[in-house]
Amino acid sequence: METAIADPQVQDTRSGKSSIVGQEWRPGNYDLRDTWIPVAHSPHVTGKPIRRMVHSHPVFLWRDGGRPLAAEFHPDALGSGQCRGGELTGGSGYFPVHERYNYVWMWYGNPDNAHEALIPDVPYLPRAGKPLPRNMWGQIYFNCSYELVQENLLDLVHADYLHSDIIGDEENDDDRVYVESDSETVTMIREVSNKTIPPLLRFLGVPAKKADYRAVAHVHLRSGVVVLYGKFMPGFAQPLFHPLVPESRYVSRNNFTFNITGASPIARHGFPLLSYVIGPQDDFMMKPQNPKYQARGERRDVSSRFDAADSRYRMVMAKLIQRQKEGDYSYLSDADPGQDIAGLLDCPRVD
Amino acid sequence: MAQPVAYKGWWPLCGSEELTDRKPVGVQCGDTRIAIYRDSDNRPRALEDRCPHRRVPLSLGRVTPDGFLQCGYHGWTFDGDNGDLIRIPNLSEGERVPQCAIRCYATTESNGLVYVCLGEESENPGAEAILEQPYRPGAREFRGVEHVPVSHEEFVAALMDGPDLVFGFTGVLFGERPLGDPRFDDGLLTLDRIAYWNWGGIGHANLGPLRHRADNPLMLRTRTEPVTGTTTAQVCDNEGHVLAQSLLACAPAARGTTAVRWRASVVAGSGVPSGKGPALLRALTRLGKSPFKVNSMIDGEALAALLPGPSDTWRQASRDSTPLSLSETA
Ligand code: FES
Ligand SMILES: [Fe+2]
Repeated sequence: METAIADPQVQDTRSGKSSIVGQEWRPGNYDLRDTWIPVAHSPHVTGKPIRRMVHSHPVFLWRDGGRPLAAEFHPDALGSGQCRGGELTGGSGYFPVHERYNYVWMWYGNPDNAHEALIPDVPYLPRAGKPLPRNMWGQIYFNCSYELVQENLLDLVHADYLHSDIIGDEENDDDRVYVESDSETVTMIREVSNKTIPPLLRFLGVPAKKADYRAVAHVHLRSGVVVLYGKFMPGFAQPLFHPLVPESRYVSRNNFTFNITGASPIARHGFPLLSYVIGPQDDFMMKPQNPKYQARGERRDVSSRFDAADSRYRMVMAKLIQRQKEGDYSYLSDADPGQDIAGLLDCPRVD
Repeated sequence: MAQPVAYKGWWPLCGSEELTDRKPVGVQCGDTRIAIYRDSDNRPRALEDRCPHRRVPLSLGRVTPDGFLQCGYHGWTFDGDNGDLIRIPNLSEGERVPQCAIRCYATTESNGLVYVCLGEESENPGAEAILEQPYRPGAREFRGVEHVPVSHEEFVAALMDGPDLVFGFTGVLFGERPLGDPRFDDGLLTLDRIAYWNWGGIGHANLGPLRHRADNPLMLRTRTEPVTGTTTAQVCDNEGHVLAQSLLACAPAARGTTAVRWRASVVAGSGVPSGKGPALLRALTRLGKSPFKVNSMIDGEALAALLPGPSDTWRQASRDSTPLSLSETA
């Protein structure tokens, strides 16, 4: 993995010159292929077919004898023999499917390349077994392409402004951000010492006025998956899984799971509810952003050194898209979406 | 897609009272989005409503205690005087912000409205280009903003040819018949037409016996500033005493609509005609009911059937005197 504190594309603020990020950045206009997408929470997939959207294609999901199935068409239509499957299902109409972490994952790409080993690792979710309590998972829709949400999750500074009522204004002794990346993922690691803990988080169970804080956002570009892990020391950990399903260039669906089984009852029940406050706050900004990133010929963005992770994200994304445009859907040797990231997150594995 | 506005001079985009030194107001004139706010000297400021960092509308942000406009997403802060980026939060001491400026628009206040000059400095016609409106606020003033789903040019034309389609005063019917041809008076296109009291719900002024009455108890006088269509509408008695009045500030808005910011009041005090009509109007306002409204749901069928009338004079004037051509794009 490459490691850097500041991205070379990001300007040096001391020089006073502004830098422009990348080529024209128009998220939502390229569907990355050959990836597993956690299209539904397992309990939502039953004998009765449901219809979901992935990259503007309808996907029908249901179970047959307990086994999850994903198809381009409703099973009734498939049964009639009148539908011909497309390229992504090798003509069969059926997508490769796998069930893990209480999600039904579908393969978006060439079915011949669907390997289970490419499913992203989520060390803090049980791989199989009973679903987590109902209040710990759900879905929020964002009115923008999934890339804008991934950028938002890689970005720390916005919390001080947009979520200041919940997260509080920043006060700390030291605040460091590291960015790592390979050809498939971007990771932002933030280490804060002696962070002032706002009243709401104290109420939820951080037992001190000040605590150290470490947060990692591990972003998989192809599948839309964001593995977030934060912890207060002392305090509780927040294993927040944010898989962003790219429904269309206008909507992404966050099928989240917050596995905070280790925290106090108050935090266990209260914390997941915050997503219904924080999510709409983010959407308030991302929704008007979206058309400005869809339009052609918009002026390029100006960045500061706080945008290192975001700039890296755009760079890795540009390379990935370029490769896929040239017909190369392979995973390069530096990348392994399924590799164990418990060490990177610094979190215990649940199984 | 909204079209650019041809006239690059002053447009009334906000009521003076709408602006505070805390929250900016986001407006759109043609295809231009602008964030307007008051700085610490109470001066209106207008900046392009787009943060250069991640393109979020600055109108979703806030005004800092020292009078600058701060983006709500990451807190980048801009100077309303020149559009300069002056602050990025969390930078260490000694670190300079990137050199970056956003579009800044000239502003001025007049007629209780904030006017924004859409053009560059060289296109600014100067504040004296804004004509004074005869509207005078009364003791009890009512205000509102409507977006009417018709283009700006057609809105202003309808206001002249069939004012009953676009606005109304409580208890008053506007007749079809103009009282004389439109005339320019202090630069304002002035037009009178017959009007009636209609407290009992007599019906349509253009039908039935009212139409052929010998004389009319009221008239509606509209005085329209030819470029923006900003209009003072007055209900007068036959002697020309104003009984009720409104100001309609018009500007082309998003998706081909017309933004109409209005204020209205009933005239009270000595010298004001007595009678049932004026008394009822005054009583209404005392109850907190507006004597005036703008029809945001314009009757499309009636609009389509409206014959050209006094608006011809206005369209001709617009064509003759540059830069009044409103419909052409730049
Ligand atoms: S988008 Fe305005 S400060 Fe980031
Ligand atoms: Fe956020």
